[in-house]
Amino acid sequence: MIQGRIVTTETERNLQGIFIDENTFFNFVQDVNNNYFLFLSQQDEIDLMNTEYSYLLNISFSDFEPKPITPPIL
Amino acid sequence: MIGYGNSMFIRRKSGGSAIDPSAQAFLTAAGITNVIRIQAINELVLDLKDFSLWNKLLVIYPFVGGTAQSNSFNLKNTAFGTLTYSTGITHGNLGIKGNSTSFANTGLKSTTLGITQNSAASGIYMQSWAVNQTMAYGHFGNLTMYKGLPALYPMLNNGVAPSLALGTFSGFFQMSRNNGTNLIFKDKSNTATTFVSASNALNSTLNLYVCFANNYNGVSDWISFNYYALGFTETDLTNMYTAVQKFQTTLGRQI
Repeated sequence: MIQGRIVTTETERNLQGIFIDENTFFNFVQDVNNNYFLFLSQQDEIDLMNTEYSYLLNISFSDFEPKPITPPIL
Repeated sequence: MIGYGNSMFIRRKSGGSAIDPSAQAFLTAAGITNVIRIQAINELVLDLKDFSLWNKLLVIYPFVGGTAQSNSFNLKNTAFGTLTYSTGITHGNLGIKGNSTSFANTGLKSTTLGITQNSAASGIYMQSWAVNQTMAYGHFGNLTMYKGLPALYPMLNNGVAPSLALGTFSGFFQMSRNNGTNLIFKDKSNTATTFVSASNALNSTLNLYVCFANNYNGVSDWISFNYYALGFTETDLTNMYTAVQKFQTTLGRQI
């Protein structure tokens, strides 16, 4: 199971799609309980240090359970 | 052959400069200065041109350089299909790696790539493909490859995907169609399998992604190459395999 940081709906609404550098944008994913999760690579974490978004790095990790998805019709 | 720094050799086009202009445009945009990576890209472009594949190719993501910037550019046209990345993507020497939810967005759709319903090809080079019920790139429905339980389903402008039992899920996976009734598939064994699979209309809604097929489960494996092209023949697919495998070998990441 992967882990990520749960953020508020307000944070998701404010930051979804905002670029943190020239190539990378915030993306939040809802889990099975409709919580918004943020996943960051190590490079993303470095990029966020000393920025207005560094508070996100202080959020503890939670297990992410994806929403069930219907397999394609084959 | 001419010598080029550090005992590296760059193939020279007859009467031309040491670096092919198409390769140079990409290298400049991507900010690549490492001589092995320069050689790999230059040889790849020359091989694709020698095999007469270059003009059929529409989008090529070689994922070389190990940074978000270097991994963003389309080798065929650096002003078209530039990738942007969601948070959670890792960049490294093996290419790009998602986490099953993160993705690279091409900004392109099936209808804006340049393919047609009955002339299309695509491929993806994966260091591994671990998890079933995932799609490694493209978009849900009819332009992706789906790893089921655990057969592979090539989806290329088809309403119903054929299935193929594979021994190994890694390396270069390619598919192509040149008509409305069949498609050809090749994996790293480089053996062609032709399926009966009727074509259907291109999807005009969903953007094409990498690491994650738009609207389905993504992968968390390293992806080292991705391309889209007009329909390839079986020989074209073989030549594409030869060129890309040589490219990956130069970079030390062949599988």
